[in-house]
Amino acid sequence: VKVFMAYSFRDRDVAEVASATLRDAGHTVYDPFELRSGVDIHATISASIRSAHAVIAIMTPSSANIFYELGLAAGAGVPTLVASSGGEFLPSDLASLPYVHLSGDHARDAQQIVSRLRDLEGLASAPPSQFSSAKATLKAASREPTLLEALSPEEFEELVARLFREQGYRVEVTPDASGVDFTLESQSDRRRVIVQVKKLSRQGRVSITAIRELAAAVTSADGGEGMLIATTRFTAAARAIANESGLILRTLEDILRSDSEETLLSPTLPSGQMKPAEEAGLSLTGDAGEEAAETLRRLAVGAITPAELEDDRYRVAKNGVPALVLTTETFTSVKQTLESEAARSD
Amino acid sequence: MAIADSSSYRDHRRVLPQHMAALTLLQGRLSVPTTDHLSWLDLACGRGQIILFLDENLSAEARSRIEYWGYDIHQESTRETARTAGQLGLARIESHVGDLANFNRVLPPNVQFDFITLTNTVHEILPARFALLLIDALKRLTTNGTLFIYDMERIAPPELGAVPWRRDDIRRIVLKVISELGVLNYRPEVPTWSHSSTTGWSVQIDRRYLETEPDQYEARLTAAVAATEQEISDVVRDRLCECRSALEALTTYGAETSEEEGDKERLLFEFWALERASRTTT
Repeated sequence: VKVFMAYSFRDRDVAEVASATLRDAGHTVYDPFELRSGVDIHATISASIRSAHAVIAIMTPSSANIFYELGLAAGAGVPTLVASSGGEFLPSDLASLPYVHLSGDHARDAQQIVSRLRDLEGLASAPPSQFSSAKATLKAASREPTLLEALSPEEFEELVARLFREQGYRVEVTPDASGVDFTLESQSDRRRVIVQVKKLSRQGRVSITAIRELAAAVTSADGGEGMLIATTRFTAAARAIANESGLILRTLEDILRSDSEETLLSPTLPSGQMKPAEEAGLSLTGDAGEEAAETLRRLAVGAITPAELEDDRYRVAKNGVPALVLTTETFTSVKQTLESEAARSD
Repeated sequence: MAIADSSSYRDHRRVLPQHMAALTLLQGRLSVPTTDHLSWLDLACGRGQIILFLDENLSAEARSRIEYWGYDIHQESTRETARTAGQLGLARIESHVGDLANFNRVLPPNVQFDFITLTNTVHEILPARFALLLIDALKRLTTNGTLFIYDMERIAPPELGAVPWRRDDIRRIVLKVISELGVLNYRPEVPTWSHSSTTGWSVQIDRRYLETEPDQYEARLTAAVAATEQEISDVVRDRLCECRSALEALTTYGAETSEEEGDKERLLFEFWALERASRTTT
């Protein structure tokens, strides 16, 4: 059984004994304190909880983070066992969850936890992958947020590398800490592109830090090109730096839609670096009013990406040729954001 | 010249991994049957963190063959280090006080070392002085000596004036020194270390691979100072340019994530340190 151990660092003594006992009993334990720097903690913890068969939460008064992890487990439907010394800090919402009382005797408490874990209802093995290819898996993940969230950053990175192999690219995985996940060799002219893959939580955005790290990795590899592939959007500052450094930015949707090497590796398309609308020769056609113009402005500065646009209510043309389409949902969301910004500035 | 924000670290509970790496090199050298004594210069020794657990990492017999030289700018720190060293049964203990950049002038001439360590301190050294420090350290190695350097790529919380070098910067600088010596086939590894809160780098340079002509070693190193200073100046210039671009982008678009908010502060510290450094490099 794969177990996620949620605990505060102050409770590491009992957590470490419990983890060791669980491992001795043949379980796999995921310990968030074993994460190394540079890892997206939120995405990794979220993926680990979603892919766990059970969560063990060691609750003490210093456990603010644990409540968040319990919420993730509840949302993902992962069975949870609460271990606590009791007390008033435990909210009544948790009162009905399976419970182990911590006596202070770590070895005894750990045995109790292992014993109670067997009785948790709903324990099941993770379903085997039902998809035949990396592309099918990633497509499903791009449509189904829970599937994407359940992928660990490493699994996502591996799927992206497999996707490129399936598309006929030569991929060389670079297992080091230099900020490079793999290199991709273009089919047409054999040029090498250093690729970094970022799997962030759904609400996350790729910050300027990641772009600077990739730029450093490209320099370290004695030049060449760099591409950052992410599950989420990029901040405007990140886009600006990428544009200046000639780096290619792509979202998961971008790479799934890329039907040619030119589309994939072109530094200017599709969502990597948008120039201001007028400079890029963009104009709106169809049912486009002030809201659409504002959306286009935000598109230009990177506040939203073309990858998020699928429907055809608002068509964006580049030099007279249809280039982008904007969804009604995007417009609504942008409008709400603008309205709330305006309200704040008032 | 020190920076005011820096402070010596002393953790009584554990050996830091970078220190363990240095101690592992030391263990290897002391295990060689012909090593009847080993001279060790601990540059920027601070409060003696690296030797704090030496009794657990080396036998009493091995420790009795070590001549330990601690060097630091703070007198109190060197005293504390000497007190710690005094309980370890070492063959000899020397402690010297002085600016790191001047260590070669402060230490007695003609004393050479089998092992020189410089850990957690390179960010405090003014880049204009780093070339000379590096080369002075290489000059002080015995023919079979090793220089081990470790530092962090990111200092948290940031220290005003500190220039945390990245792995690639150090690789560039070290390779420049080596190429200036006319050595073609020696490229020391500069690995990245992943800690829980930061990343670091280390490099181990062995003198025996640096000598193309032994009698020319010191003269060639002296001749390499100017080119290494220029390389460091180029690295500082490139980093400053990159830092300015990132700050410009954050100024224009604002920080959209807490990570970028943190970057803003870190970049400002970095900008000041690099700008200050660029005024003193060639």
